Amino acid sequence: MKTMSKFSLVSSLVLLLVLASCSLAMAAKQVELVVWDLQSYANQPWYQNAIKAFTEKYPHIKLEFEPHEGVPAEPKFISAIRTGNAPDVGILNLYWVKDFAMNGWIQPLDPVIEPETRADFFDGFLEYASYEGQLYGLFNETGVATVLYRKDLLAEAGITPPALLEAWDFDEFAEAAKKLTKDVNGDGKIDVWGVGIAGSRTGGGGPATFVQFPFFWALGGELIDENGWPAINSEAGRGSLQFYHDLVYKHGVAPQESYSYTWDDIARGFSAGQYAMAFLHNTHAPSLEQQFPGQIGAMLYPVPEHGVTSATTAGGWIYSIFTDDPDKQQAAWDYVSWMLSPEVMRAMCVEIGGLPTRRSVFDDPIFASELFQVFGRQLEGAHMKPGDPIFPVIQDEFGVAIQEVLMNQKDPATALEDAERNVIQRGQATGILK
Amino acid sequence: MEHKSTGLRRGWPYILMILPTFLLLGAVTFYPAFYNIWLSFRNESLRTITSSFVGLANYRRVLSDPFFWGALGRTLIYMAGSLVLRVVLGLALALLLNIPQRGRSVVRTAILLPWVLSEVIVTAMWLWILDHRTGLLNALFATVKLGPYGWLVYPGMAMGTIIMVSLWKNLAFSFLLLFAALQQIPVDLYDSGKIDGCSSAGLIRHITLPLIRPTLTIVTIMVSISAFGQFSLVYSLTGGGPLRSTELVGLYMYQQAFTFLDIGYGSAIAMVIFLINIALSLVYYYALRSESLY
Repeated sequence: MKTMSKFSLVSSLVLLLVLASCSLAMAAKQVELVVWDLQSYANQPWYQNAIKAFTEKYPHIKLEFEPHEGVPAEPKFISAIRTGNAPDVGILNLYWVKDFAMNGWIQPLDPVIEPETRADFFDGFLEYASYEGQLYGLFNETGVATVLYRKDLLAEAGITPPALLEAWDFDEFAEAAKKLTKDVNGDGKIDVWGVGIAGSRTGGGGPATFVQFPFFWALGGELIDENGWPAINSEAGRGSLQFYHDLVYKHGVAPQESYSYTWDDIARGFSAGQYAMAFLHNTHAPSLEQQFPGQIGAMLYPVPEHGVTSATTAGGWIYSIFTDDPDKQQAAWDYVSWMLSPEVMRAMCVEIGGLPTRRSVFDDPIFASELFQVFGRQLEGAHMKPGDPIFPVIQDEFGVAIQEVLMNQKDPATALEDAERNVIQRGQATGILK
Repeated sequence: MEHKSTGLRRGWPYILMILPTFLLLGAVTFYPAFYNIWLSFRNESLRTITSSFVGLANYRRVLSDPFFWGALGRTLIYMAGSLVLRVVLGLALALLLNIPQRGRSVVRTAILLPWVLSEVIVTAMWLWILDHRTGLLNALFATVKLGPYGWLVYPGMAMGTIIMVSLWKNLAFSFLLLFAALQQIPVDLYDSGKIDGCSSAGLIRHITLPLIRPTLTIVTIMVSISAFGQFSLVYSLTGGGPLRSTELVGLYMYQQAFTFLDIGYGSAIAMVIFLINIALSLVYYYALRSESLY
């Protein structure tokens, strides 16, 4: 009996030791990953599902989320980096990436990304997120400036929209907008405007320039020259602002208060039936489509003349890895590759109306609708806002120029001359331009 | 020596009691303030890793920056408008409600209500009321065939609109202090004045105003400082627009520091705002100080 007791005691101790060493080994493999994702994702089902599935697949990775508010979070990121509190993984605005890579704050993905994964992303997005030949981030989706229109209002006015993947020229667009601008109740005031233009400077001119730059680029404009200096006071700049001015003052197809409207104002106005067409973002389409089922169309941005490729602005968010700890880097890549996996990207794009950045996802039949065909074609002529440190100043001053022209305070030439001079002065004062 | 050590022995409980407050103030007020002074002499930018001492370069830049001067000019307009309206209307209301009459507590509460509301709620509410196309105010004007007006949309109107919203939100502060000061004046003084044949205007001029002058000085200084540092209302209502018509120095400083990440320059602007506030306070103090009470 005594022998049995001794045996039981020893066996129990051995078992305990084995279990303890197992749990120690497990604990040693546990990785805690600090992730800074977008605040807006938190309540979206695609995101919640993706995180749930990730934690089930990678139980040894403990995620600690610190959501950030998007574009205004740049100083928060930089302060955290400079005080040694950077996250392990973060989702970055596209034009922070070059700056962060230049400063060595984010890690190249080349050592961890599999060749087949890399090959599945569209080249333009890989190029944009690369610096000195190395890849520093991957877009989880993209979005483009687009012209949304009400099919029923165009039909009522006897207007045939351009063929699916073709663009009107400036004159054709203005003529259509004139026919669509109507005083419905005969009180002498316009009830439906031909086109909605967002000219407000909110967000440092971000949204206003996002929907205006497609005209600038279609006219062959470049925001920054090869020396890194602003190049906005150009033929293209003046032409693009003149087109905006003409829509309001020559053709009378957009309200004179357009300079004060944000794109959310325009989307609300569109949804209230105040605009027949509007320069918006592709992610505005799903909610409008819900409100006007089957009546929302998208067309390519108008071009100065036929034969010119329609341009647009593309934006998006980029996952990058900050940690240089080898153990965490693998876990960080596991997280990034999971969030960018075809399944997650597909779910996200379907839910928020975003555009996939992977070929395999874009080829999914769900993205074969008319709207997505137009958005996809626009990506071919897409320009992304540059990541140069002077760009936020250019955007801010170009935003002022847009307002001045839409308010009829200055002609495009004077507005852009002043804007470029201000950019140079501010750039030199801050040491960005030398 | 013995006397001194006895004093210290007796004093240490008091020192211990104020120590937490002192440490807290040091951490959240004095340290950031001194750190800001230090930053204002450096070319500190979040975009660059290194920074160095640049002496008065940031201050020279402030003085030669046309955008700063533009913002300063607009701030002075905003401050003057706010000051006159808040002090004059605050005083008028305080005088009116100082007269015993039915229902004055209801009016007092109504004046205080906007003051206790969060600025976020206030701006959200006014954005709805002032909306150019769908706002309540333009709907009211439309009933008498007027408008619509671009309250926050027209550059010539936006500043006035912001002054009015700020007045609505903050009138209670000046009213409350001046009302409290009025209630401290002994009624006997007014009775004596009436016996001496003083008119109502004379009573206000010779009794009320001299006696509330210290409070008036404090109100003027506080309203000026708060108007000079105005940021949240402008940021939320107009973002400094349209064009730059409501870009005040507080907002300009914020943009330089947190949008363009030029921390050293933003700190120098903050220091200049601080110095202007001190200068203004001194001017008010000497202009409004009472040589004698009567």
